[in-house]
Amino acid sequence: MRTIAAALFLFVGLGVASGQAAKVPPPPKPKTKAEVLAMIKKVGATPPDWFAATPLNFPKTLDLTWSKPPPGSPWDPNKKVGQFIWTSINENEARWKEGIKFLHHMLTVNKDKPDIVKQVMGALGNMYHDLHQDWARAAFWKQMAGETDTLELAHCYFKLGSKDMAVDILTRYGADTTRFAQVCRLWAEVGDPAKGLKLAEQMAASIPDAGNLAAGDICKTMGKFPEAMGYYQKVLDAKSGSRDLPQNQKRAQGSLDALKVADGLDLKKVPDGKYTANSIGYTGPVDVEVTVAAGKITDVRVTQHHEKQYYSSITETCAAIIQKQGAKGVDATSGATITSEAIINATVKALPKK
Amino acid sequence: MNFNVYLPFHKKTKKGEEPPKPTRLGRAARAIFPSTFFSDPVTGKKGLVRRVLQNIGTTWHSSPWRRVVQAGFFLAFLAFFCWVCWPYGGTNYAQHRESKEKVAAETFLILDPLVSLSTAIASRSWVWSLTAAGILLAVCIFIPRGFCGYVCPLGTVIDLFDWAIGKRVNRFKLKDETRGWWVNLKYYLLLACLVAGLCGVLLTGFVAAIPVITRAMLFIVSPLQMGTARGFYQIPAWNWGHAVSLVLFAGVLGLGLFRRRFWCQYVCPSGAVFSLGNLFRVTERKVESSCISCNKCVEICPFDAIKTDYHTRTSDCTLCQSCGGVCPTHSIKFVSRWDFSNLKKEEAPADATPSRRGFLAATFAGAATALSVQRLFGASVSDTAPKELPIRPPGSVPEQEFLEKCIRCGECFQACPNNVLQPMGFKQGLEGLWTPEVNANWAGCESGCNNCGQVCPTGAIRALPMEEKRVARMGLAFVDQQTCLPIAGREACQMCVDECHAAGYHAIEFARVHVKVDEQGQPIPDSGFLAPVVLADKCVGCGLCQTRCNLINVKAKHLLKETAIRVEAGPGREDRMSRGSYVELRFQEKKKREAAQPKADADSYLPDFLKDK
Repeated sequence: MRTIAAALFLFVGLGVASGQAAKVPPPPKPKTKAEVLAMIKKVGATPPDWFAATPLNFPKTLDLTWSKPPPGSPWDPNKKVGQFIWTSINENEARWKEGIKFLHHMLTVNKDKPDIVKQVMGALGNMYHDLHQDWARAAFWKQMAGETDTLELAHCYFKLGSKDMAVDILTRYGADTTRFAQVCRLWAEVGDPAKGLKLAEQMAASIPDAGNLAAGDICKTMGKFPEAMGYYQKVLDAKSGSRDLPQNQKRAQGSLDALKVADGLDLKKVPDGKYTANSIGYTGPVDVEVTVAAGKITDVRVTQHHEKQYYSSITETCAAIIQKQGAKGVDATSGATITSEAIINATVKALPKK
Repeated sequence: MNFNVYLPFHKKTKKGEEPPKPTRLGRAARAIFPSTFFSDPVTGKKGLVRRVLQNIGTTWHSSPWRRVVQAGFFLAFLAFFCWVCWPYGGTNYAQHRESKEKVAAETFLILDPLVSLSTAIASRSWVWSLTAAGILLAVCIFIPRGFCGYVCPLGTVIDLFDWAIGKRVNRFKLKDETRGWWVNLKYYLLLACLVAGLCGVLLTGFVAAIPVITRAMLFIVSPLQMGTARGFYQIPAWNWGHAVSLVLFAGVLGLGLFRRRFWCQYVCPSGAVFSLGNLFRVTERKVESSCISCNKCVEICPFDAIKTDYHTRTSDCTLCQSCGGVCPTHSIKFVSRWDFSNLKKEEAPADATPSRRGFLAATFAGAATALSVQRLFGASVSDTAPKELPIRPPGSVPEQEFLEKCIRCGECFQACPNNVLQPMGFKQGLEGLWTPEVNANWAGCESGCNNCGQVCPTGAIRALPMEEKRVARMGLAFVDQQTCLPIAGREACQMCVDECHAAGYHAIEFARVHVKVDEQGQPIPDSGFLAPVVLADKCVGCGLCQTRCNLINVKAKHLLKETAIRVEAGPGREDRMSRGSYVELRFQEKKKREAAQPKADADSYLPDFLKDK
């Protein structure tokens, strides 16, 4: 479970950051070690305010003893607790609170089995950390599970206000040998991106996909977009690497595309003319024609579509693109978001990149 | 008591005679409008009003108020019908939608007494529109059959047809005095409809006046309106049901080739209800002894309501008063039934009353049709093949009752945004013809709309408030475990989930499938696909998921032959209730579900064995 959770924490964390050129969140208010530990103890022992109102909801077929599945056994989220959490809880935000309730139920059911209790506590820590970003409770349950120097715990300490405690753990790691380059990323997050980048580059020498991806992500949060794009390109060029190569390349491609949309358009270099492209809307392709004259978008027109509920999205979105001179910062019209987004996407596709 | 509203025949005053005194209304009008508007009784010169009316036509000239009222009602009918249709744009979507809820598009349908009467008989229950029909019948005691002459939009369309086409085609015309067996057809048809209703089959929708005109509008005007305003690709496909309805409507109009308003006089069963109501009339048309037998009144009467001796067929007269305006001797008056002063003598023999044989035949025909429709062409109500069961609009009453209550007027199709509701063809036999069915491949039920129930004149679709409609289940979505793209391992796709969340139902959640596992048995993040899982307790069967799957995966990308998520109806998948609250039902279900789950202690956050530490 630990690796699963570790991976999730990165994906959830980065998922938030990867959409746009991310804003770096303000650093947490500094606190002393004693303050942080006291807070963990105090908050961790109390339930979140939604706890009592959350229903207990899990498949009746589930094997609550959480026995380790034998290798090679089929994937069965209706029976195996770990797979249930992975398949159903993690993937559905609406179930995250139920997940906590369920794990607490697991604690009571298995109270006489110390090893399972420990496993459940670890899972609780991960769930509070990855899904709820409830740092105090995450740290509480991780400590209860007996963790002392995991990266997630370091992350919690940093978020709770003690950079020193986080750095203390981080320095014990030295080079990054983790699957998702958590060490590099965490260095960058606690305020030393240069160190994170250095470690990532070291890592890239042996594992090009994971190392370069981390380096790209770090550059992106620092606002160094051209460098970030370079690293992402390296991920895409990698012929071999970690076993997560396909996933990492997919993510690199996604980030690269997002950066290109945000940063890649220089209208002054676009020759005059009409550019067309289409994108899938609500009921099928929406064809868009963009007219550029003297480095300006002079007209955006939807030439063909079969949308049903488009209301005013067509005129409004086109007008907004002309007004903003690009797709950046154009909001989708409410009530016809999909049509609006299709027009925005088609506009981006139509204009030639540098 | 005097009910004259016609424009009296214009006469020049003879020498030595006093010019007629204008009425109070006339005096008031003369005070307001210039004198050129009015005729001069002494010189006989016609005023502007008369000249204009004469140019429009004789019926306008003789009884202008009737034509004005008729036109007003017809325009109101058109306005309601077209306006209730989905908004054509605008940013303020929610407000626009709410405004549609207040459009009383069903007004004319609830006024047709046969609509509510026959549905009440067929379903053996109270139908709310009986009240409106009752009020109208009460009004018609004073204006006998006035609905037909002044209000009925079908009558107006027939008038227009007769004026534009009927009067030019003479080869089928019946002679004026011909009155065959068909003159009492409307009573037989009415009886047949009611008998069929008693047998539990609602045939009225085929012949009742307002459903016939509403359906005709729906199948002719509505596609044109939709097509020109929003594009012809927005018009759903036709089926044989449309053709049958249009042939029927053409037949109704075509009867005008035999005689003006043939349908209204002799065939229309809704008119027959008013004719029977005429038995209780307190006013009627009377002829004074000054009648010179010029036959002008017989010629102008659109309803064949004047006998050869110029007296009135009281069951047919609609009080349109056209005859009054053409009478050169001012001998026709519209007065109390019990006013017997100065009357002309009756000479013609009484009309033949509807025959006993006719009524027996009608009773038999009604019952036989009802039984054969049920037995041979009936709808399958049982749960044999859920895929074949139609998905009914939200808030529909139980299927058997639905078939007995749905008058097949089609107003719900018109009120439905994006034509989610479409008329059924012969899929469910003759019994299901023109009943509304959700076509989720075409569009999904708009989560913020409850228009169909609001316009239903008979309560086949309950008029639900928004909060009830949002939880009323029409069906349940099923994910095809063979074809769904992520489940089949073909490609990532989450359109159905996105649609469901966007509509606010949150009834489809994700499950990760085809997860790859590493050597330690740990799942690899991001491996496999996210597949949809329908939450049966939240899905209302709106079909938005199916629409998207169909439009993109089936139609645009050709990845599937049939949608991989489909809404199905049937017991346990839909709520079909005649009364009661859907919100309450959901609440009880939730309580039951929670009771079935193992109990969690209220303060079980820290288990006992940890509290000691």
